[in-house]
Amino acid sequence: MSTVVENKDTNGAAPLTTTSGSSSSDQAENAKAEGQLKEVQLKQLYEQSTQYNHWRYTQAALDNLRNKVNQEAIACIKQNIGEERLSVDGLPKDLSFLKVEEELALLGFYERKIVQIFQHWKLPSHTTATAIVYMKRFYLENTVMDYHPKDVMMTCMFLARKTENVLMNIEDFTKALKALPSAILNLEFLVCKNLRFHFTVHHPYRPCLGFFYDMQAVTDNMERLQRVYEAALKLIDTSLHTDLCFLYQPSQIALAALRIACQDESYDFESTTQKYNQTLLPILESIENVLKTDPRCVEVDRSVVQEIDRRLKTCKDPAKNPESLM
Amino acid sequence: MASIRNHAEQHNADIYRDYKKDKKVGEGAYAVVYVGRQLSTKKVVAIKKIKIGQFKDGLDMSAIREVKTLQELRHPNVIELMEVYFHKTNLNLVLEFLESDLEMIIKDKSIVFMPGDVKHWMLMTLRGLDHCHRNWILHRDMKPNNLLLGRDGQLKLADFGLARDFGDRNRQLTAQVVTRWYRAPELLFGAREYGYGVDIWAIGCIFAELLLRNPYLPGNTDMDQLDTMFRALGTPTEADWPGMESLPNYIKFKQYPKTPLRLLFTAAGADTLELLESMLIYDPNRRISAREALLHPYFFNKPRPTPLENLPKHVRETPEAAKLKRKAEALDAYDLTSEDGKRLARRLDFTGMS
Ligand SMILES: Nc1ncnc2c1ncn2[C@@H]1O[C@H](COP(=O)(O)OP(=O)(O)OP(=O)(O)O)[C@@H](O)[C@H]1O
Ligand SMILES: [Mg+2]
Repeated sequence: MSTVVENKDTNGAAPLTTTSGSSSSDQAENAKAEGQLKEVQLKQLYEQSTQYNHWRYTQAALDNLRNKVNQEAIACIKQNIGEERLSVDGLPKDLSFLKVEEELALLGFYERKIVQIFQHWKLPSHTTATAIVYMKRFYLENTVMDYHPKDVMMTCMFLARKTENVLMNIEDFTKALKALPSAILNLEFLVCKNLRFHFTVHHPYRPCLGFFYDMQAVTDNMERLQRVYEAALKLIDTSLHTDLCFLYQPSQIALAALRIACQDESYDFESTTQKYNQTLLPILESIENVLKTDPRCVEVDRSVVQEIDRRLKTCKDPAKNPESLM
Repeated sequence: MASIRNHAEQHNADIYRDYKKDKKVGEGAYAVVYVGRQLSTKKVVAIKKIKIGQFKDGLDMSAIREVKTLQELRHPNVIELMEVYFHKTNLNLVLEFLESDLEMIIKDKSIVFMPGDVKHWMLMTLRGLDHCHRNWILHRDMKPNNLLLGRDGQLKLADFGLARDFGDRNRQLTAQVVTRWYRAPELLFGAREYGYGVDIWAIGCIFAELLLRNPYLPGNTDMDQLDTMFRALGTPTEADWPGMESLPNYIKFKQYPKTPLRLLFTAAGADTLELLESMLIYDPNRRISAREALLHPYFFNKPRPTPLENLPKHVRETPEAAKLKRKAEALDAYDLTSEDGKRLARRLDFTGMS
C-alpha cells in the first residue's frame, strides 16, 4: 500500500514525497496501488471543491431553510402590502401566498424551459445542468415572490453560458429570448452574490462517462452497455429537477443512475462494478428512491403552473415592484 | 421601509465594510490592484478592482475565469482568493498580498542567482501548476510577472484571468493566449485543441530566463516568435512533431539546425538541461507534464533547493535603507558562519554553478 502526500516541506527537500511501505515489486500489485492512489487523490480533490464545502445539505436542512425563507417573505410582504394600503386590514381578499411546494413546482417548470432552450441552442448537457443548479442555489435563500423565476432563469442561463465558456453576447441572447438586456444585467450581480461567487459546478455526466469507460473494459456485450449508458444519462437529466445535487456527490448519482439502467436493461451491474463496494449500497438505494418516487421528476401540468403564476402576481412584494409607490 | 431580506446582499455589504483600500500597487489590462487592509483582523491584503461598468455584456470573462478558478484552488503555491464583493459597478477580489514577483527579481541585476535558488523557484512553480492541472485547470498566462513572491519567499501563481477548465478534450479553445515570448509552438500555429503542454512550454521559457537572466525567446511579432524559437531550438520536422503540418496556421520555415542547449547555457548542469529540454519539446504530446517534472532527478540531485528564508528577495525600499543593508551585508561577509555570510560567500563562488 503506498500513498503520495503533497510535500509540505517548505525547504523543498523532495518535490513529491513518495512513501512506500512494503517492497511490492510485483507489477500487478503496483498497478493496483496506482489505481487506488488515483481514486484517493480524485476524492481528495473533490473534497476541496466549493460544491463539496458549501453546497451540501441534508433533506431536513433543505426543507427547514425553504420553509424559513418562505415564512419570512410572507410576513414581510404582508406588512408591506398593508403599509401600501395604509392598514393590514386592507389586504386584498384573493391574496393567497405560495406554499413551498408551489414555489418548487413553478421552478420545475422554468428548469425545463432551460433544458428546452439550451437543447435548441445545441449546448452540452453540463451547461444546461450548470444553469439549473445556479437557479436552484439562488432559490435556496430567496423566494419566487421576491424575484420572478423567469428573470432569474434568464440570468442564470446567461451566466452559465459565460462560466461554461459558451458566451453569447447580450443582444443576441435577449433577442432570442425576447427579453430586455436590463432585466438580465440588473440581476446578474445579485445572482453572483447568492451563488457566493462559486461558479464551478460538478455534474454526474463526467463520472458517468468514466464508469462507462471502466465497464467497457470488462464487457462482453458492448451494444447493451451502450444502451445502459444512454439510459443512465437520461436519468441524470431527470435528477437535475430534484434535490439530489444538494444531497449526494456527482459520482454517487452517476453510479446510482447506471445501476438503475443496468436493472432495466438486465445488465449485470454488480459483477462489472465490483470495486464499488457494499458501503455505497445504501447511498445508491436512496438516490434510486428519489429518482423513482420524487414528484419533481415528472413535469407538472401547464395549467397548474399557470394558476400558481396567476396567484404569484397578487402576492408579490410591493417593495420590490418598481411600479409601487413604496 | 422594507428590510433587506436577501442574505447575500447583506453579506456583501458586510464584507465591503470590512476592507479598506490604501494605495494603488499595480495596474493590469482590466483591473487596478491596491494594497489594503481587512479592518477586523488588521491583515494586509491586495484588492483587485475590476471595473464592470465598461462591459456591455455584464460581468466580463476575465473576471469570471479568475473568480471561478481561484475559488476551487487552495494550494501554498497558488494565490489565495479570500473574498469577493461588489461595490457600485466594480467587482473586488480580495487576495493575499505579495511583495514582489519573479520578473522584478530577474530584472534586479544587483541580485546574483544561485542554482539552488532557481531550483526552488522552479519547484514552487511546478507544484502550483501541478495543482492546477490536477484540477483540470489550464493557467494559459504563465510568465515571470504572474509568479508572485511573498515576504517569506513563497512563490505563488497569480493572474488567472485567462485560466479555464479543461475537462473535455474535444472542445475548441482559442489560440490567442499566453504572452508571446512564453507562447507554445502549437499556439503560434493556431492549434484549437491543446492542453497542459502550453503551460509547461511557458515554464520552460521561464526556467531558461532564470538561468540566462534575460528573456529566452523574445520575438517581436508572432512570426518573429517562431523564427526566434526555431533559431534557438532548431526547426521541427514532421517526424519531430507528427501533425504539425496540418495545424491551421502552419507555415514552412527555413530549416535551422538544432544546437545543443549547453552551448548557450554553459553554466548549467546536465540534469538541469535535460529537464529544460523536456519542457521545450515541440510535440506537445511528448512534452513533460508538471507531475513528471516534479519527479525529475534535477530536483533530487545536489545542490538542494535554497531554503525559503534564504531565497533572494526584492523589497521595495528607500535608498537609505538599501544603503544600510548593503553595509550590513558587507560586514556579515566576514562572518562566514552566519547565513547571510554564507550566502555572500556563495555568491562569489561560481564553482557552485553546476
Ligand atoms: N496579490 C497581489 N499582491 C501584490 N501585488 C499584486 C497582487 N496581484 C497583483 N498585483 C500587482 O498588480 C499587477 C496587475 O495584476 P494582475 O496581473 O493580476 O492583473 P491583470 O489585469 O491581469 O494584469 P496583466 O493583464 O497586465 O497581466 C501585477 O503585475 C502586480 O504588480
Ligand atoms: Mg499580470
